[in-house]
Amino acid sequence: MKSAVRPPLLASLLFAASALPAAGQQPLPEFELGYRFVDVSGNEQMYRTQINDRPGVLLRMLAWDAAGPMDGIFDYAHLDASDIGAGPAGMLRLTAGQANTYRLSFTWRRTNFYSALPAFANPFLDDGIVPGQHTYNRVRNIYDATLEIFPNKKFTPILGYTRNVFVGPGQTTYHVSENEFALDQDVHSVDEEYRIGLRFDLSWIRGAVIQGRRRYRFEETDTLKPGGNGGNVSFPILGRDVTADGIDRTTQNKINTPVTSVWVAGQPVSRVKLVGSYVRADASGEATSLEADSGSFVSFQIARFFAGLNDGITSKADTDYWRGSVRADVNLAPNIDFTGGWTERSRTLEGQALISSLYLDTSTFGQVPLGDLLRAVQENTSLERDDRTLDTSVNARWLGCFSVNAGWSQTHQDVEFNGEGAEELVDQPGEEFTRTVNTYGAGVTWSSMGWTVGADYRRDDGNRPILRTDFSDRDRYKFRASYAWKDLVRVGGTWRESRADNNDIPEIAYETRVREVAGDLEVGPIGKILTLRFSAGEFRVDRDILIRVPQDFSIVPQAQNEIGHTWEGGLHVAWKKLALDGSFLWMGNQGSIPFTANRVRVRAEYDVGHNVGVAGEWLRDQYGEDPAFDQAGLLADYNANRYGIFVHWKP
Amino acid sequence: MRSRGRSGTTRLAAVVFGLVGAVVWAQSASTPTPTPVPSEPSAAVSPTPGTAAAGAAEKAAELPKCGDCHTDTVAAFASNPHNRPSKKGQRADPEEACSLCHGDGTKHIESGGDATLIQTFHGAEGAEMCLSCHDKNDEHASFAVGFHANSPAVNCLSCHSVHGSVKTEQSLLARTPGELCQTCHNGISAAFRNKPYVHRLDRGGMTCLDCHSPHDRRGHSVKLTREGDLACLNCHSELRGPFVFDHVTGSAGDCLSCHEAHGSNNPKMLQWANVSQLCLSCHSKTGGPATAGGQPPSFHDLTLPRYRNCTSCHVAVHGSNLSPALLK
Repeated sequence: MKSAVRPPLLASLLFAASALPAAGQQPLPEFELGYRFVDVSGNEQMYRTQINDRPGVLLRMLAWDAAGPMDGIFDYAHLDASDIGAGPAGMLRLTAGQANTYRLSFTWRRTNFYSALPAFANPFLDDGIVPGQHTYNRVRNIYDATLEIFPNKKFTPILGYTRNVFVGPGQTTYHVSENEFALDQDVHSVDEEYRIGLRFDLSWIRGAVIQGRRRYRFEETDTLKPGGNGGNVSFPILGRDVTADGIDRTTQNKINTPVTSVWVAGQPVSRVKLVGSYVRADASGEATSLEADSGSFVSFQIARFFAGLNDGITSKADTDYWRGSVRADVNLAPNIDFTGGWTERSRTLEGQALISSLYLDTSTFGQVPLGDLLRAVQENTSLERDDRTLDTSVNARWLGCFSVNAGWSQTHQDVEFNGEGAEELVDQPGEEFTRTVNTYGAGVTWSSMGWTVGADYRRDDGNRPILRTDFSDRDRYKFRASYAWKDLVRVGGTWRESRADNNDIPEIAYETRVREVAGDLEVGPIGKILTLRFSAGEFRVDRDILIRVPQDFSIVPQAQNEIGHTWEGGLHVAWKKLALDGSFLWMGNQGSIPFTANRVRVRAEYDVGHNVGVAGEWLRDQYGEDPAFDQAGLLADYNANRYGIFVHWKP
Repeated sequence: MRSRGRSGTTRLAAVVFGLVGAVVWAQSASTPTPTPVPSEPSAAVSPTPGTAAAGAAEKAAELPKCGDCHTDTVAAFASNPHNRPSKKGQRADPEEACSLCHGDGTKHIESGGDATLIQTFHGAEGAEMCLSCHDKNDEHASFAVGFHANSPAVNCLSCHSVHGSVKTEQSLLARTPGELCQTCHNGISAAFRNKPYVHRLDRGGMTCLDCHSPHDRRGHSVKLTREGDLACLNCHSELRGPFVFDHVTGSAGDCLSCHEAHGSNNPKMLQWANVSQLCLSCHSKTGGPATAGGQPPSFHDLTLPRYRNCTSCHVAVHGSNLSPALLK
């Protein structure tokens, strides 16, 4: 896989360096650079899916703030970077400009996407085969640049560009001929957006108009995985082994989306602020797919055996999306504000797909040859969705030691599915769903003498579901308390709970309860020399719903349960030339996936010179699933140690 | 079943806005507009025109400068955003820059550094000084009525530090976003540290701020893309579509209908450990009101391993341009 580490880093550094004719006056950048070693035992695929720290050179951090020479390219610049080099994710940001001439913001982010789970989409897990058949090892690079010209003037032109590149191999499966075959997959996706706009600030009215154009290009190639000829079905179907000699598919997708966004804010009278916004994005996409399969196949759809398939698909999807909103912020009294707003969203989708399938050398289930068969299907889909939200709230942010808020909102949703493709979703094409949700909420916070105590409550009341998991009633509670005394003690705790259900519909009986309780204690008994930290937490998820089991159409309850506990502890020591950080974490989960996780983090840095420190670190992650667990069990376990040595330059 | 029509909503909106308008009109007519001005210390001296000013300037020139005592702070201020060059292209004198926020420091200097004789900023009252310039109010954010609006419990100075910000962060953040958010949202923060399937928060630059807008209005804390989708699609843009055969996103639900954004104990950050259970939550016809989502036909025998993970066949679960059943 190609790595795009260097160009953005070098470009940013070159840009910054080019503006330093008076480099002697500039502060030098602070950075930490080193090497990381990785030692993993157990399921390395699981480790990479969850953690994915890789061995290699690592720029742990870079920070540089400069006030440039007045005759240089910039007056000011801020450059920072973290975790560039050995994966899984790294980032670099640059902000630079001249006060009244321009402001440039640039961000580059690189992320490894790795997934190779034992249990996910793996029909052979019972045979001890890991990982599953759906894996990927991809890289995403996102570049984003915005240039503002005359940033402090009344009118500021804006130019922007965003590029999101997602590439890499993977493995997937393909259902053809009543069998699933493993395919090697290669994905190359580029999503770009060009933007041009104008921001204005005329004191009494401010706003921006930005016109963007999004251009998306996607290509995927799939080929039968070597050795995957037999597929997942090892038994004959209608007396015939279903095997593939070759499967090749290439898919391309092109989408163009002009995007217009406008917002305006004004203050017609001293106590009233008004904000309006409008966004429109009309996407137009075309996709093509060519597929050639050969082997010994069977299809119940055409009631024949066949020896090959040439599939050609062309499709077109268009969406019209717009969102408009108006909002008023009204100052009722000092520190007491009312806000009210109306938002409306609309999205329509029109889709067409022409699927042309040529079945080669077909024969009846009685082995009577019938030659080739061409089957063409035209699929049409359409969807309309409208959302309208009215919301109001009163916020008294500063009433002595109290701040209080209360609000109400109502969201009305209309969804209509149409076309032949809608058969997959609804009982009858043209079926329309409406749903209204009223939300009431209030919160109060008291803060004084180092104490902060707060409570929030929100209630949502929905009239009917669109999806089976849409609630009729939802209650959300949040309590928080904290106390801080100088730098000596900080203690805090939160309790969050959400209960949602549609128990008023006994045929569905959906109910979910999520609870999170967490507490932190931080103590600094010896000034800033020693800091001790402790945390404990519990989370609980109980989710129940009635389902209809496909194989016998019986209705049964199903449940998802999680009961987890965490304990954490840590210390920070800063003594003379030594800085030491250490922490441990233990987590145990019971329920649907029972597992335990142990994590250790140790880092020590010693100043060997006025500006130079040497740091060593040890990270340990142990993950173990309950051996009795009927999904992956011991097959998922791993023990990963990472050791790093870094040089820290601190000008 | 309860239902509230559009006309009812409109009437209610008209009544609410009408009442508020009346209150505002009455208040505007009777009460002067409050302007957030930081309380000046009693010893602060206002600039005096004419010869008195010249005398004061002469006297000030004889006094020590801020940087003589606050050496590191003044030196570091050179690259502070508050020290950006003025419209004339000149950088403010560091001593003048101090007085812009801290007021005239003559008495403070003359007293040998009496902290009560200089303007300092603490808590919500101190943060009002920030708002005198940074009272942002636009499409999304509002520093006055947002959920982190300036209050005794949380205010500008809870997260930002003009002189003590972290070098690797922008916007003068006092600590990394993860550490700051953890101060109050410690349960969510713990989920990122503990759960096995999470976004890599604070590693490689991803922070809470990639998905959340801390200055946004209540109920709008999750950022949207420019096209109005959830912030998930800012990175996972290949899932944006449009697709001929749409699934949940863009039709009835969104990413969070199936995924836990803050971290999950289940693979792929799903809400259910078992994939078929997740899918059948919607794709079951058990009676009751009509809902979106069809019933799988009977050959989906869940007693066989190949049917327990629906995505073995329905690989294009986020939407497809090629297959109505999302098979490719």
